[in-house]
Amino acid sequence: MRVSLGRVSWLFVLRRYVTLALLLFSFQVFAETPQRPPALEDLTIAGLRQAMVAFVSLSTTPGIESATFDVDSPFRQSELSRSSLGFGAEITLNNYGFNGFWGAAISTGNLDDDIDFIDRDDNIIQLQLNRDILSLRGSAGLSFPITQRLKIRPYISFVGARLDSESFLVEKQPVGAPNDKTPLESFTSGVNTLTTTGTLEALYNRWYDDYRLELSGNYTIAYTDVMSSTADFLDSETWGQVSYVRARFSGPLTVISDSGLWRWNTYLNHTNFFDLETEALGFNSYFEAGVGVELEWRVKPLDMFSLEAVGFRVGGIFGDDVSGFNIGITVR
Amino acid sequence: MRNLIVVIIMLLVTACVQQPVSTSPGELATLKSWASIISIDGKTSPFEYSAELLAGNHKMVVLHKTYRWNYRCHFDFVVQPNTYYELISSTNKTPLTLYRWERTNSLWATRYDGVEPTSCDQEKP
Repeated sequence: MRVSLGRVSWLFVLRRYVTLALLLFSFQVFAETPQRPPALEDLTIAGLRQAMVAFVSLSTTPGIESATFDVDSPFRQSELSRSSLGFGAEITLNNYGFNGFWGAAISTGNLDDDIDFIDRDDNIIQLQLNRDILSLRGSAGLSFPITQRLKIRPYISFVGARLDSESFLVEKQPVGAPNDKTPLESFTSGVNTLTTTGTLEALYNRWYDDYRLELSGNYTIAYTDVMSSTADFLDSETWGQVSYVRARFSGPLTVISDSGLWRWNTYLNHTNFFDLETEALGFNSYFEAGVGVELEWRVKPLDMFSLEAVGFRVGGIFGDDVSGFNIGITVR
Repeated sequence: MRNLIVVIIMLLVTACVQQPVSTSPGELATLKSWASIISIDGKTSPFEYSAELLAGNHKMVVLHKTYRWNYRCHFDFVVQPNTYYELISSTNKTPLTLYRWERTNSLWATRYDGVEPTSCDQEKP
């Protein structure tokens, strides 16, 4: 059963992987920048709705992990963070060629968004927006083992979320000046959202001696229904699509503790929000690359699902006008 | 983050991982399998996905099914009495791994002493 591949071959794979990451990073240097903020008239209800749903999507889509994003374009500065606690588990369906799959997650997210607009008198007006979200997700589906290394997993998810927002339109002050002007407009809203998603996921896992390559791809189509009892104009239904591809390469460390084996890993992810206007969040795709260490820790929380390892990772996020980081504990 | 902490505390309070109870405590070990058990010690298994085993050495054949290939895996392992074992599909080098299951606390159980198959034969479904 042991698959062997020469040292030269996996070094070749690793070198191609690092080269790709550097190439993608270098694209950021040549990003074009606009010269003038968008007109205040461009701020529409439809745009606000889309921005709201985009935040819901980023915060609740299955498979997207905890991260902090910084959007720093000439007329927009925002910080967006998401954290989640979730799991997925397979259920053996005896005498069938496939298994059941289920999962659940709780996620929280926060957005601080400052966007500059220019009014008809050429004054710069800033939209200051703060959003908080709390969501619960339940997923169920099937898992089809194609080979011992490849698995296809279609599943549906229902995500309920509470989203609270407050926003202010203020005349932008020069840098360093006290920000004590009365807002031109202010608006507070609380909405409930129900998102139904369909996801197709492919998982590939292969060992080269003690080194392991993991590839995965995920495509999710989502239908989000926004319901507000206080602001009817925010009521909407929106379709969206999200996909990601991930590559991860890991190997053994010489450190062995009583608990188990330590392994290093390096990874590269790409996430893409199809048909999402860049204006909604300031970006619609990003790359994440990083390194980490993990300790094998084979436990079964609540005697319901399997964990294989816990660890720590440090990752950088980069894309058009977006950067960020992902530092934290990993549980797999 | 505050909400996540509340949920974790609720899980800690309500969790109740229980040690499985053997039908013959003190003598037999219990095995639960993720894949179909073909035979144990040369005898065709009537159990399919679970078995109770006497302490000592055992040889077991298990069939791991996928759409492209089936994998007939052979295990050679030692059983301790009054112990619980799980044969699971894992992301290890081999498609199946046998673990000793032990209740750690009310929140989780731990898998120890992973045994990989001595060989796996790939065959057409």
